[in-house]
Amino acid sequence: MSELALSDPRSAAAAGAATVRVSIPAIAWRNLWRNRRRTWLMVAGIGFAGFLVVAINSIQVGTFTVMIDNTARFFAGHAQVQHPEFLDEPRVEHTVDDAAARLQALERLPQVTGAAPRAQSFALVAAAASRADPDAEPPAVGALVVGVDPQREFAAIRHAASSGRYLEARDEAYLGAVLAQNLGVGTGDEVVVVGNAEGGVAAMSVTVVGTFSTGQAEFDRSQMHVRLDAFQEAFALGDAVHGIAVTLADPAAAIDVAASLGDESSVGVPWQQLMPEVHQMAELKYQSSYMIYALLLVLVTFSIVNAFIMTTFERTPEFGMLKALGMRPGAIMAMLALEALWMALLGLAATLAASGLLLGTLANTGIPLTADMAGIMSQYLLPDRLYPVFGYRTAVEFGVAALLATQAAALIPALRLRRLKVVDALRMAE
Amino acid sequence: MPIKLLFQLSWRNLWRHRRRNGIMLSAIAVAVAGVVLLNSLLRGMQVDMQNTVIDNLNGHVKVLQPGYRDDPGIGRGFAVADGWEAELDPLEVVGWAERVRVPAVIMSERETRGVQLVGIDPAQEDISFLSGVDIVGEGLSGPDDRRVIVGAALAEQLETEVGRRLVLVTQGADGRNREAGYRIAGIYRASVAGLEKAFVFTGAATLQGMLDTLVVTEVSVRLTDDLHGPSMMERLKNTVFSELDVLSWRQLEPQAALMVDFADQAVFIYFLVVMGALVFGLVNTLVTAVMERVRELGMLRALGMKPRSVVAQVVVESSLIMTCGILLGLALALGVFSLVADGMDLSAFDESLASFGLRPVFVPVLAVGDVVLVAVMSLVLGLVASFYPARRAVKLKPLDALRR
Repeated sequence: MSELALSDPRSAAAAGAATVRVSIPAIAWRNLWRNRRRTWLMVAGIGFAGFLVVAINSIQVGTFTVMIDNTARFFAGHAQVQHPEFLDEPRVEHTVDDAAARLQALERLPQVTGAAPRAQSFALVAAAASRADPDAEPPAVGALVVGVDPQREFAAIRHAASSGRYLEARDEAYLGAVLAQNLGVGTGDEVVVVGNAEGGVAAMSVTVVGTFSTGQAEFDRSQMHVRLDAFQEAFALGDAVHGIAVTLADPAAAIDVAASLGDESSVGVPWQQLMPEVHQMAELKYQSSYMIYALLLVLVTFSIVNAFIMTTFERTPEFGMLKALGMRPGAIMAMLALEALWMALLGLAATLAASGLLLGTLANTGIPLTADMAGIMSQYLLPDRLYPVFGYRTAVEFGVAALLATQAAALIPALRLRRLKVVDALRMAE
Repeated sequence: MPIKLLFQLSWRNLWRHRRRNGIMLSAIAVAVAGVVLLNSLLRGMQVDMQNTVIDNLNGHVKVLQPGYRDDPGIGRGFAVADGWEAELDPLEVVGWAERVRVPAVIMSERETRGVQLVGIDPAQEDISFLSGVDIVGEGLSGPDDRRVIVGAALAEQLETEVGRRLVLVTQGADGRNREAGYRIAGIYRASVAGLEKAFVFTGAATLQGMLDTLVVTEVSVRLTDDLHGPSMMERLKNTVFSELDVLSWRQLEPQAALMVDFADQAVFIYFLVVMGALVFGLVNTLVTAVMERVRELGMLRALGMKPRSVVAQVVVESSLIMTCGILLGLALALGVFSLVADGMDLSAFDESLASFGLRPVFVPVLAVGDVVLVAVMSLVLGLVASFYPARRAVKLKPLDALRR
């Protein structure tokens, strides 16, 4: 034993040339391999837990990123500029003025990839009385009538035509297929809209040029698009709109970008507020998964505490020897802490390797869904294959948590070393 | 080797390393409790989702005119024969309701909305969500009541209040529009805002009068147990409603049914995930317990103990610690569960939960079957985990072992 002087670097220098300099980190590394089976089991334990955390989170990130983006592009946009009270009370008089100037300003912003002005109101919609039978009263249906700029409109609804085409000329209408069926109208028919404008009745007559079928019952049953200029005239809005929906280059930055879009008479509203059910669903899933992550981490920590209890128990004579040779308890504890560190880093490397393998495979092929599941997914605007996206944040959080937990796990049994009596410890070797 | 001795030896062996086995015990307990509690959350969600679908004017079984679901309206109504309810087994049925339900446009002085106008007999509606709502003002007095009750969220959108009038427009049986004014009797607050915006209620006879008809559009039956559904549906289909669609809530809301069924598989997924993380520590502890007793086991073998008994000892040790851990874990789960059994406030996620058909106050459900399943699977896992350590123990040669 005398060749191997174990000491921390400061006293090693003082001890002179007779000592072989071996750093504590290196010794800690070698100690790990004295009981290979145990080390591998612990590394596998950390790796497995980490792999589960990363896999669960990556599938969620992959799902919700697509879902949020698709839902936003479907109609609402990543953010909207609105009257400050419009979100809570979507009333016809809560408008944003000077729409044309604002639109141009928005389109100049580098973060904004698209901007669509819209005016909207609930109104009574009915087929115009037929000439053949003027007495037959056609059914009237309540619908959300949206005035749009066909050149600028990005809503995916416009690409979901089940018959006809999207809006071009003034006084045209494009409406949900179910709504059209309920009204008893088709392409070429005339439709009358009656609504409440500020201080009077708003009325317009438009010709159906297309119907859409999105599979989203709410839209197909109740939405109708008309040209913005026709809507503004009928509802006496002038140059005002109810919102300018924008798509962003980076949807994740929606809150910050939206905050910068408002001024004294309008506010920028991010998608989190425009589509609260989508935002909450994602948050609920993310947050409830943390219960599972925490449980996994606790179980792994228990295992590691146990491993270090066994290690310190088996090596008590050795620690007694080290102490007898002059190694301070602090240095022994530091050695154990380093062993825990190496173990955790190996475990995290295993995590990365396993999840890299999984994600690398699935990133190309995707996770195919059963027909039933795909039905649900399409309701949430998801494709029939899921592509996981590596969840950096959760992976880093798990890594840090695992490092701290293993340090704590090594510390608990190591604290006993301070009370270690050299003679007793050495006697245990017999 | 007598079983009693085997247990005695294993039990005493466990006490040789109290700290280590104490921690193993805690880990097993936490894992078992974790699986049980995670599962009770999911079961709660399952029960809630199913009840919401059934409460949502569906019932367990619903009778509709074929085609009503694609094109709802009074044109798809049907006459109900008197005394049809004689076909219902009173032991299996909580209640039933006949309704007239048509799409309508509702108008206040300021706003216009599309709604479902539902004519009901209030006395029959103890089977739907209406029985649990708070009403400001008055509820409907009977099928002849000429007033309406509307949801709070809709009343807010319409900027109206109790006692004011609303105009409702809908299509009559002859295809022509009917328009009528109704006074608001009361405003109801449902647990989910979507319901408040969707449904406006009036007396069934009143609505039939407005539509010039005597038919209803749906009959809902609520059962004491979902299990009675198939036989009940067959009976109704074969007797009184042979011309009509007799549908279960699963057929009416297939997506909700799929999510409800998923909860049945989840107990296995949670078990695999959580126990997977536990098993490494368990194997580690058991292997160490064997390896540090090499000399001792060698001695026992030399004295004539059979390899079988050595294996038995390791297996019994593993099973003992697993059993104690499971019991402790179940106790822990019950303790935590009793704290949250009255419900957890998830109102921060209101809108998302509503889109799944869930209520903001969430009540977890502890299913005895799941608890037993978790306990049994954990025991099996304990046996499987002892396989490798037991093999190590039995491979020892007595001479080598003694020499170490």
